[in-house]
Amino acid sequence: MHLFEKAHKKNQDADKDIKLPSDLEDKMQVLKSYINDSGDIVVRSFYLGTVQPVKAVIIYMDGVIDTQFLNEDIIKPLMKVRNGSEYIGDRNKALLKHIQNRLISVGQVRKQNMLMETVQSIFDGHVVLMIENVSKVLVMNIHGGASRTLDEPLLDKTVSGPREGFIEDLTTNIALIRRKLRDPNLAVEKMIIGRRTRTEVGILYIKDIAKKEMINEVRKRLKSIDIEGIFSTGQINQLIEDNPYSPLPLYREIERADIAAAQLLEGRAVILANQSPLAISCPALFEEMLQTGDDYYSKPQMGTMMRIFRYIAFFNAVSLPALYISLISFRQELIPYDLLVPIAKSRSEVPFPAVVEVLFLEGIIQIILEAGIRMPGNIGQTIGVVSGIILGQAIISASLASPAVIIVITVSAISTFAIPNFCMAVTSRLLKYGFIFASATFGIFGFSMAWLFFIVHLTHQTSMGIPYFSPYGPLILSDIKDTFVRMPIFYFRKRPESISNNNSFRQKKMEKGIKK
Amino acid sequence: MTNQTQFQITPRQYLFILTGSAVGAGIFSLPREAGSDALQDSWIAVIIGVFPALLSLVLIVKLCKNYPDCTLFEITEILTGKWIALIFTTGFVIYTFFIAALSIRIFSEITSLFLLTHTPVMVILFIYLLFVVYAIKDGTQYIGRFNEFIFIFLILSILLMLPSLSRAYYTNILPIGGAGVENTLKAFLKTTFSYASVEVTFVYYSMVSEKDKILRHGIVAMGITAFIYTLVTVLCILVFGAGTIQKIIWPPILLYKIADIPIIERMDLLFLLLWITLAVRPAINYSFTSAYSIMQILRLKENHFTLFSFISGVCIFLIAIIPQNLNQVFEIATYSGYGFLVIGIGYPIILLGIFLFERKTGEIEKK
Repeated sequence: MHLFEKAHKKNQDADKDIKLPSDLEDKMQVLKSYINDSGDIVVRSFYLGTVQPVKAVIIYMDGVIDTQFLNEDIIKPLMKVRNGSEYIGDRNKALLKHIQNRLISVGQVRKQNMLMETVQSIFDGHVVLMIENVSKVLVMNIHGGASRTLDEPLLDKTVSGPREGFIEDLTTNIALIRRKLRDPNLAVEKMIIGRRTRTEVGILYIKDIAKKEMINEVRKRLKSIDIEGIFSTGQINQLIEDNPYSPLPLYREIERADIAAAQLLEGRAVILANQSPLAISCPALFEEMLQTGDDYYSKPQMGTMMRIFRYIAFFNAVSLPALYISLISFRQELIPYDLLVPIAKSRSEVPFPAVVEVLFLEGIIQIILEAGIRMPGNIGQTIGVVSGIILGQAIISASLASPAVIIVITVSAISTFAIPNFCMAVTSRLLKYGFIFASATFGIFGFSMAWLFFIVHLTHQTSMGIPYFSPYGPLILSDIKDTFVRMPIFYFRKRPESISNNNSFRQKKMEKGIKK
Repeated sequence: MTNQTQFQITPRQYLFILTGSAVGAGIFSLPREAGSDALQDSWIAVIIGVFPALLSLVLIVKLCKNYPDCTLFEITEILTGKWIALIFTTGFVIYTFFIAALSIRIFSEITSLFLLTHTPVMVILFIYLLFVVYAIKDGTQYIGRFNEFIFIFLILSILLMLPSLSRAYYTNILPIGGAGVENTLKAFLKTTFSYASVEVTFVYYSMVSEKDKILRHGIVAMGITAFIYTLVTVLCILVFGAGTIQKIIWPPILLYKIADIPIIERMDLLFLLLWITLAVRPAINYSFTSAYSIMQILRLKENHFTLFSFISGVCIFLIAIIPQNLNQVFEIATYSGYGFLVIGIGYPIILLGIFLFERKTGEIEKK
């Protein structure tokens, strides 16, 4: 509480920012209260010039700047300059100008003379240079320090697409997109979110494609966020959602730059946050959650086939256990007779009803999945699967469950991993319980009603005002070409209508095949 | 949350709402009811049965065209004044309540007969209505989307009927016209009732975004409905013969029973699984119109709509549990068939008459 009040007071100070005094000692005095408690802030005082030296101080935060660059290209030239004091006095502006223009070779430099601004610059990771009797300070941006190198993303693997994934640095991430999309119309807007973390957030969009109203909406929602800290775009996601109470992922999280660029080309906005290796694109559609980049990079037949299988996988992941329950405990007649007999035989030794059996195994699977994430190294998943098999065998021989239910649960769990979007996969794990509950109470009828409720829920959702279930929900026939089917690329002559855009033209009609 | 677009639909969504309102539980008893008089010619009665509905559609559209942003209550109020408008709209609301209640009740009976033999009908009714309220509570836009998407299931379930053709005898439908004109016309009166659905246009008209396409899309919707009805009737006659149909409560469901498809042991259950999604559509579309009309009678804004969707849900539930058995349900269904003649054809004729009269006398300025 005390801390909070202090911060609040500091914020109030920020509102009535004061000017920095010109005397160096005074400057250090006023800055002291802000930086004294931070052991990682380096205060380096030195003399400017060799003849008639002038006292100067450089303040920076250790670890977030390029130290070698600082030493070689900022401190060294300043120390080595011949005459320091010849510009001092009422011509102090000239001195700063001289330093800025001739001595230091830094790309991003700016002058400041307000106290809180300067303090903030230090904590934002800039280098601040202060000179005796000069009221303004120079703020230089030489970001550096340790960060992860470019890497293949963890979940969104690709066979034929580019493998570069986003990392934790905003500048690098934007550059990755820029490299893929060299369009001068690609706009990058930056803002700061988080009272204390002061996380830089970038909105990317293509000016002549994205709808202005949509971008305004994105901007408005981001600006309305008032929170202490943001560490991942996942948090931003939850704060700008249309319906935060829906379990569905209403925005798509992107790990790869090529997908982000493709999203931009469809008229969407991409939101990136510093220190977060995930971008979010909005608006998102339900059908996107079952698509991957590889669908577009491989031949259309393969893309279509895989997409249809993913829809089946989604159905399995969400409702296969529920279907099993409703068939076994309510409607055995639907199962062919020759199959029913062995199932009934194996179930005769199991003491539980089908629901208990399913919930029991579901619970084990969920725990194994959760444990798999925390097991060290890549073998975690493998160990999970192996333990699953051994456990499954043991469960069957202990007559705790029948082999049929193990097949059902395993197929359902594996189907979860066939869903490319991680958030959707997790959501499907949650939805499964709703379906199981409905089927256990009302059998086939409950199963059907559960799907109905789910479909109506889907049609109710919007993402940045765009219907989430389009192009199925509001039926948009021209967009069906890129949903559960993937038509050849030369058919994509217009941008998807589901996401409204300013400029629907994509490519001219193309001659297909070589004329003989 | 409420805004303008929530109560707006595209012409195509209107098309699917119309087919959705027509093709519901009624299709199951249609072949039997039409066949009781017209025998093997009942399919002809089914085809010509669409014309009164088309007439009704044309009349309603002609009337609403003059007041593009008004629903039934507002139009009647402008034309006749507050009290008559109140009576007219109350009649409309009660009628839609009954249609929605009947369609849900019939399907609950089917559900309890085929799927949940031991569950009381009331529980099934309650779950259906829970879903109906959930679907309508946020506005027309979502109803339109739902109807659009669910149409795929309609096509699927009609396709699933086709395997039964293997047991069809084409002699069953012969001689064409053998039942006589008089009998066919008798059946025509009954088949007319199954096309009841166009009267929802009274409410939905004001919400369609492109008004000039309404008539065309409405006609296409009735065409699709007529095609499906005729197909199902013809299939039933071909497979069972006109005599047997009379002894079956719901002939189309039996069509699935006799179809032989390997792997799936009982097709009728699979079909019911699909048809559950279709049977709730009339209830959704009708209960929306009633909820919206009540809201307008009480002169409240659209942001109170959720409350009225609950009210109409409760009313429909109370009406749906009135009949003691299936016979009473079918009896009431016949009465609501006459209701269609009053609401669908009587209302627009009266209102159009008043409109033309008032325009002639100069009370309404020509547009």
